[in-house]
Amino acid sequence: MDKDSNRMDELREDVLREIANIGSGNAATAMSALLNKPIEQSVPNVRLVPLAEIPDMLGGAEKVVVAGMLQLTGDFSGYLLMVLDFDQAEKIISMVLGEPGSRSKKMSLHRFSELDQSVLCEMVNIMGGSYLTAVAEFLKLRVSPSIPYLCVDMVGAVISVAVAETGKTGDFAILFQSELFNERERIIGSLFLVPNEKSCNTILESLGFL
Amino acid sequence: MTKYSVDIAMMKVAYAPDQLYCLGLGSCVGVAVYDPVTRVGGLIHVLLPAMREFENAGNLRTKFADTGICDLIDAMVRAGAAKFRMKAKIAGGAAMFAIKGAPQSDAISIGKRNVQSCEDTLRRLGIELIAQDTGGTKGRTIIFNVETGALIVRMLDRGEKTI
Repeated sequence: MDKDSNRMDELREDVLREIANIGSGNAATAMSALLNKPIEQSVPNVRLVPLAEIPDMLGGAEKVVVAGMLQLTGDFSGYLLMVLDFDQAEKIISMVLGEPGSRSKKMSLHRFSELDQSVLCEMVNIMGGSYLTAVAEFLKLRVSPSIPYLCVDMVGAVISVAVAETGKTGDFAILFQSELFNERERIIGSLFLVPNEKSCNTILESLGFL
Repeated sequence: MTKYSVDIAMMKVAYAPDQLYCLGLGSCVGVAVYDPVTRVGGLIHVLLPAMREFENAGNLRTKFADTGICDLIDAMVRAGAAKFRMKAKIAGGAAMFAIKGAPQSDAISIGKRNVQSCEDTLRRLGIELIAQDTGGTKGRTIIFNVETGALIVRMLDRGEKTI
């Protein structure tokens, strides 16, 4: 990746978008099987973003979200994040467990019961795992996810760990963004793959680009 | 009065009565420095501890505590502040995604190392650190009033606190 340029050439962008497409397509299929509802995906967005602008891509630094995270290690490293609004998270939980009783309005993970939290963790696991399996198989690279982590906080804060990781190898982040949705429920949530810059080169290399 | 947002890996110097703010600090640390006499203030949004720890880390010096704080102090001196009068306050450095009781991975403990590096850099530069609100597992928004040197720290579920 050209360090001094804020642009990716079109061909590379297409290739990276196709990778996101393969990953989120598989994630949508897995989620659809789990929820027994048709789940579709948007055309993924792949962008090279200056570090300072990442929070804006996720709705602004102070927006409160529910985030699930997998740390990736292996032939390429980085993070996979699932970012949900409260009502999206609650919708997913009720799709799995049925309609909930009253829920607290706390702006923290304590808003969710232990059972609710494990539903969300498992969702991160299944969606993230199927995303990664598809991507790794396509690239013939090996990558393994960590256990799922969960957090409720401001966007800027929840992505700081991923931004710090990508900041270690460059001044830009490559953000793979996919949205999953159900026709009736509209958007279910957003998935982000944030490889570090070195890993992005590994990905392009495995496809014969570098 | 103008309010300036200081985004990730950015810094900004301003004069009273302006305000500087960082939204949604997680593992990042906001370092606010001011000169109470000339009322020049600066804020930096630090992402990583030290430039020398990473090879090929890019060209953005303000990403790191060590190089960034030095640059901030220099910029403040150029704006008319005197180094010997400067006071610093820091906030941020949380461990996001931490699991209670579990050992913290390197990535999750980055906040702690950021705070340590900010403290070390300020000490090395001879700038007194007079207040801090760091650590924990929650994100923070900070608003720095250059006129008074007050740093307002906001957290979800905790409300506001001025240091």
